Amino acid sequence: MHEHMQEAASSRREADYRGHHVVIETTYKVTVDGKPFDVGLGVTDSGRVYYHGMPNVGFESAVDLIKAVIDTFADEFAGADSGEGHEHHDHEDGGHDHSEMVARPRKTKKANTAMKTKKHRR
Amino acid sequence: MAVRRNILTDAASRQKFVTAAIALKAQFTGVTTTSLGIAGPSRPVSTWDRFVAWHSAVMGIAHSRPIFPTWHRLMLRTLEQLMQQALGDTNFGLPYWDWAADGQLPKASQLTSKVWNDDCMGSAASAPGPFTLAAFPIRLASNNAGMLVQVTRALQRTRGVGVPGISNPSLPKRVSTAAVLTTLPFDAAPWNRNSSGFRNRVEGWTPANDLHNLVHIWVGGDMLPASSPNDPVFYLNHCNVDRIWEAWMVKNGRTYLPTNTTAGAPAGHRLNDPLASPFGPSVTSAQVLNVASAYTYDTLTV
Repeated sequence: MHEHMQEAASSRREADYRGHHVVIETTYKVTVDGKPFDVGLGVTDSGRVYYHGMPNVGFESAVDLIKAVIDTFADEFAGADSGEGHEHHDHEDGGHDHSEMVARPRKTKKANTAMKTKKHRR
Repeated sequence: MAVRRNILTDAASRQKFVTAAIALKAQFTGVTTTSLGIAGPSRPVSTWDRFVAWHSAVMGIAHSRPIFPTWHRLMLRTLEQLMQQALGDTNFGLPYWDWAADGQLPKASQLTSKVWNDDCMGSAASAPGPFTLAAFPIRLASNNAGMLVQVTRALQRTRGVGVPGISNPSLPKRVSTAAVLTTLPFDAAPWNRNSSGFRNRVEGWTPANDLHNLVHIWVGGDMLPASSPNDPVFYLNHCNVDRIWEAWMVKNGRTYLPTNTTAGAPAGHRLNDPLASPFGPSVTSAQVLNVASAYTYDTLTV
């Protein structure tokens, strides 16, 4: 049913330049909180990074893409929110209201993760 | 015959679209999550949500590939006919959102465009306007792996916020819609995100994050994953994309590539390859190039 799941985990870019044939293969190995994020990321000829979970966005970097994944599928990454990378920092009590930032209602359950540890250091 | 009109200026189309969307959300015809292969308890799937499942199932086929305009034309026409039945109005036409008109406004004004009035799409980040949790619950949504899962929550948007690296974007502008009308050919090898041509430009890959794609990014929330037809704005966006494509064909001819004799053309994307529909018989891309007998637009000025 989900044909998009068949997309390759690596990208192959090819170009011909001054009589030379160039092949660039790119494979991303991503972990979030130490857990593999095993959905295939691709890269366009212009270097934009994409993946089928957010099929309408060409990200400037894989880091931006993963940040967007964590924002958009927040309930699947529950409990590790330090607010880092967000463009608003007006939460004096650490209680975030991300109704304008997050696409999904977030769970309140906290996980012991690296990102949470960073939050406690702040 | 249906005439598709601007949702900002045609109150009847606006009201009927909202009414029909809520009606199809509450219409059940025996399809279940089990019959669609969706994990979890077996629950009825509404007509509206069947489009979410259909879109999610063909995400890797109907996007970033040649059939992007033709497959979505089939999808929109199918929804339009079901809305006509729900409304008892065979002349109902899907409205479009001329987002490039709003894109000419300052960013702050884009947020207060009439499309976000509470009698239209609504401005709230959660359960906006008519699309309350009770009237319009989100029941199927893509997870981060692109698989549909069962949920029960309100519709979500993040209008104008953007995503990391593309923060606070503007809606697409007239300069982009003007440029896409003169972009030739329809599509070209390698028939994907790296192609030159109209299809890849109107989809929003060249230049990156423009036109159709940028509208998904700008609206955000449920418009970001493969389950984006959850949001009625999806159809307003794609109706405008279809209008731009129609304007392109009026200007450049009703041409499509690849044909069935194009060397290296991907199967499923050639002119006479079938576009499968769970709502009726398959059609081909060739069969949807001219829709003059089914619907028209009030204007092709984009």
